[in-house]
Amino acid sequence: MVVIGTGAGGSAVAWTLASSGVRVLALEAGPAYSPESDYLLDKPHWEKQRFPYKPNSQGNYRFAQMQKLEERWSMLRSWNIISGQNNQGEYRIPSRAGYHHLQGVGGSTLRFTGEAHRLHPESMQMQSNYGVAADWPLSYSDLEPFYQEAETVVGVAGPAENSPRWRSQPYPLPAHGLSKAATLIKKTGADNGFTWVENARAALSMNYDGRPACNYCANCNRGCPRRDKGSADVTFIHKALATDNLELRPGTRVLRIIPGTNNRIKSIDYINQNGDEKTLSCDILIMAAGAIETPRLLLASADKLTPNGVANESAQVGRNLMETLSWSSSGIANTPLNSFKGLPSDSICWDYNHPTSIPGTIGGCRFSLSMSEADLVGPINYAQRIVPGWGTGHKQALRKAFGQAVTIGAIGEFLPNDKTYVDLDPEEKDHFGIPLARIHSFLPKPELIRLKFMMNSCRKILHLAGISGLVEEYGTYDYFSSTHVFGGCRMGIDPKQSVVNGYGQSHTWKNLFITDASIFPSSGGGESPSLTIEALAIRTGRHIARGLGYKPIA
Amino acid sequence: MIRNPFNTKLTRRELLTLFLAGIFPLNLRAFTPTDSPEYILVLRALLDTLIPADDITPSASALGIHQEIIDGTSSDFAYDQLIQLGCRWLNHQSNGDFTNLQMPQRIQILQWMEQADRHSLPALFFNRLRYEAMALYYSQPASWKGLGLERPPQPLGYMDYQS
Repeated sequence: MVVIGTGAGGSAVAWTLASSGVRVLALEAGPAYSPESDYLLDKPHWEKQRFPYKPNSQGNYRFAQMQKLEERWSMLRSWNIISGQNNQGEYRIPSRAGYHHLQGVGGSTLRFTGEAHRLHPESMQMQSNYGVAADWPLSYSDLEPFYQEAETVVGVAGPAENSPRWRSQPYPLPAHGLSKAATLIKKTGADNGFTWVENARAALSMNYDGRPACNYCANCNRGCPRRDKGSADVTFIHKALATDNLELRPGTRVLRIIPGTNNRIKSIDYINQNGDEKTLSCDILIMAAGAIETPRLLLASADKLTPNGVANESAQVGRNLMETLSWSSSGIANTPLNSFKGLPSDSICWDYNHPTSIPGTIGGCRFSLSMSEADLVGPINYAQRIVPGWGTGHKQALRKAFGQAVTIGAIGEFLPNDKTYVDLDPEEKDHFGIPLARIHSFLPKPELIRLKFMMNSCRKILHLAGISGLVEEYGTYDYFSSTHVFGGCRMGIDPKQSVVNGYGQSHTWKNLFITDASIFPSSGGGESPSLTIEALAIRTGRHIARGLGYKPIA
Repeated sequence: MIRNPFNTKLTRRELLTLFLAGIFPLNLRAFTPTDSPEYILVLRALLDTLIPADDITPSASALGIHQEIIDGTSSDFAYDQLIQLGCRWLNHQSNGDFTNLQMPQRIQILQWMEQADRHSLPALFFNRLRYEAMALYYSQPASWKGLGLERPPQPLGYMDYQS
């Protein structure tokens, strides 16, 4: 049993199988991290670097030319009180990395905030109910027990009430107490159209499973040195290794998948830690390299048996890619909040998460407190970005403003469209001669209507909280900036319209499974995807183990 | 979400502009190294105008920010050249020596740089130096006095986050 990738999906399926008694080999292209020694939060220069990227901890990919920016949507351009309009050009461009992923043991969960969301059940039936995207080939009811299991492994802390995401059991841990900024925002209130509740978080509100409770340092995105954040390395991987059934090989890059006869994958070629190319036979191959690398590897494995790439018989690999539609507005409150302290994104508003809740477009969104995601949790970013000027006046202004920044972030549904997909770059290749992934991205009008609603709502929330002076706004109209990327290997019932079935199993290649976000048929209305990826992966792992005659070890 | 609205690196267009304007050096060997006193003194004066000492925190140069900036140019050719050109430009605007100016005159020059066209040398130099200096200065705990921040976030965290 070979698993490619050890992010949320790869680690969860590896744990499920290993804890069922199945021997698993997990190959990870990136490095392993040691939370205690690799993260910098106890160092004076902790703020200078957002995350300590190691060599090979980020993949290589390209972007196709993106759309021309239009005057009629100019209100959606990102700006800053010091630098002015950020993107000065005529075209949408990637924001630095653009695709904010991480290669390493634990994948992007190492630097995620750790929101642990279940999808809105209505977001899983977008085609049947609203004629957009595609239906999931499973229901919320099918997934609910696996959500519960993932939450238990991760140690999710959440509120007692969370309808319409019904629960069979309470969260494993009680919700975290709200920060001062969250208390301020909560006062904006349901009467004004914004109901704020405690966010479900993969961060421990109490000591749990041998890990200590969170101490509210506000920097989940820089890596958690305490191991209280439920990243995949300290949860699923840790537990899988404890079974002695998992062999983990970081620094191992898979080059290609070799198809065999009888609709079965025969082997994979990979480069080991010493730089040697090897071939490995596999009874079952599980891909979990993410929504960009998984399609890339399938497409790059074209040969005589699979001229269009592995599992691409219906030409669906790489199609239906969905990116992060996001907006954030930051302002300075006129009262001390210590907003650089506390749990990031501790408060959330789901009022507009239902697919029909935004006027004029299908697909929902959510709002949350986002100072940490906006990186406004230390003096450097205040000084550089939101406190204008210099000299003694700047020092005084910084002292007055520090701890008073409030950011409202919004993430919305991204519906698949024909112009958003991933393919192989026709020219650029990696060190091993494998073509790089090329990301094509296009924001059609429904996405822009949704984004405009998100912008107006973020501004309204700040206004209702008494924060009138905006200092920065950032959105994905003029920048491609995706923390969550979905699709590319859509799951579905119809082999002509999808790549895998509801268990993540290829319609054609019976021993090929996928357990990352590439199989999502729709993105959801702003929910963070890691918990859903993990729940799907556990479900797939159970299915495989059952097929092999294994049962979970008590 | 990882993002940063500032593009502090010189773009190809900006480099080309400097070349075409004859500002960027074609004969690099004619230039004095950035770590020579000629540049260090100007850089110190500039940084202490951007971040002067006040009642509770030291100036940029007192924390060695000028040296950290010079160290940072060793692996970044464009940055190195920007520092040299910017310091020369400052001296040129100061009748030969920026360090001889009184603080009000220095402030006046920096105010002009701040308002200059964002693709011009003065603005590129000012914006990059402001950005880098703030990062280096506020990386040092001695600069945190008065902010309500006494230590790095870990290992103690902020258990008082609700108060």
